[in-house]
Amino acid sequence: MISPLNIIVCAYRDWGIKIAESLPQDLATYTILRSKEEYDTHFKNYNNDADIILFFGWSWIIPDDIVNNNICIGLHPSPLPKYRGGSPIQNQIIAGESVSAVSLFRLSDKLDKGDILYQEVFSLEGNLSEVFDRIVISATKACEHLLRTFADTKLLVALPQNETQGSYYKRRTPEQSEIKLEDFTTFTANELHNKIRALQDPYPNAFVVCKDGTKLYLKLSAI
Amino acid sequence: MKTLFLAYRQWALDVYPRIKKHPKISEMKLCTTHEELVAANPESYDLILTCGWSDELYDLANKVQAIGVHCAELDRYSYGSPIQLQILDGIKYTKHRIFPFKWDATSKRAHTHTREYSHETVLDLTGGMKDILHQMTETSVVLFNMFLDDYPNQIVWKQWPEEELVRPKRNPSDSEIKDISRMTARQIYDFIRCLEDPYPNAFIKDETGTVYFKNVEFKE
Repeated sequence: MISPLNIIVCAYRDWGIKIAESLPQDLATYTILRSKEEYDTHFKNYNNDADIILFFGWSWIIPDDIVNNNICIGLHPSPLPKYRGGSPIQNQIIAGESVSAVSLFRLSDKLDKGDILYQEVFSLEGNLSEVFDRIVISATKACEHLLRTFADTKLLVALPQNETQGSYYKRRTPEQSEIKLEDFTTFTANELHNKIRALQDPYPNAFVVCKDGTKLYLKLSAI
Repeated sequence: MKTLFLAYRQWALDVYPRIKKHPKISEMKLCTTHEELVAANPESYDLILTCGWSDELYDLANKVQAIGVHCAELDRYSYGSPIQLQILDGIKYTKHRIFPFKWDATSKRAHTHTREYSHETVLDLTGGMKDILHQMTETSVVLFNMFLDDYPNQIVWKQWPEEELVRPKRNPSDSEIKDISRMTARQIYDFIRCLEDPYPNAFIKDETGTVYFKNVEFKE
């Protein structure tokens, strides 16, 4: 009888919490930390007893002593090494990508640059809520694959990222959600639609500053 | 009283189960297409109630009393697309009225051409189409019930004032936003919201395709 794994999951976004709650129950006991406060409290007296610590869309710096003394795995919704950094979903959709991947990778001291453990593709088509539903499904599949392999072999096979393929983006700001009036003549129909759907709720919606200076928020479009 | 209820749009179909409970109605048959109407032997009914019905009743309207609901206060919106045209003209509140269906082969107007109405309620046009259509369901129930309460002997027909120009019905190509840079936020907002589903959505097109705007938000 194999003793279940002891896994800590750090996730505060809805999609991250959904993944955490979908992980296979037969493999591990999970401690889900749903906020920075829960994370701080838990790690105050932590004695490195977790088999794995998972970070799903986590936005805070993780101290070196945790990264160096534990198996820390991050989840990033892009086909790393592409679209490292902030707002990966928005940046991919706006760039016109139609297929992405959930990447599981070993955390390192460099942002989203750790060795890749597993990637599971998903489609970027449709509305943002549909994209997030697919991320949850693909991420759950990827995590299950990784955790079952680890439970069986105690091994994690990781491949370094190809630095020549890498790209980095900063987190988007609300001001970047503007569609300028001239964009309506220079953007293609697809580019307009992609910008609107990439910035649906709960993100700062695409907006137009009209000739009277008033902002108009474009919440839903179709092509 | 034997009645026919003519409707095919969802907001109008939602009226039917509530109206058929009126105590003066012994029978109410629903028709959702012209074919169903013809097959129903309509001349055998006492009254025809139409709700959002676009087809002409032709001579049938002269043989059986037929009424409908129309959502405009001014005569200029007596033809098609009254909600869209009123919103585009900046109208925030209008009237929802019972009118008698008539048929006049020489008329260039739609079936409201007599300008007669019996009962009216206020209709708020300030929200999105979902809100407006929900209101139309609710106000139609009220209007039909008021009409049926007064039917047949206490109906008082009034007339709204005639205007020279009656606006033409919109068609799907009118949903194109031609020059967004010349429009105020309010104008763009009104244009997009009055063309929300189930109407032909506002769109911009180029040689690569067409993008439809389905929902928009505006804060004064």
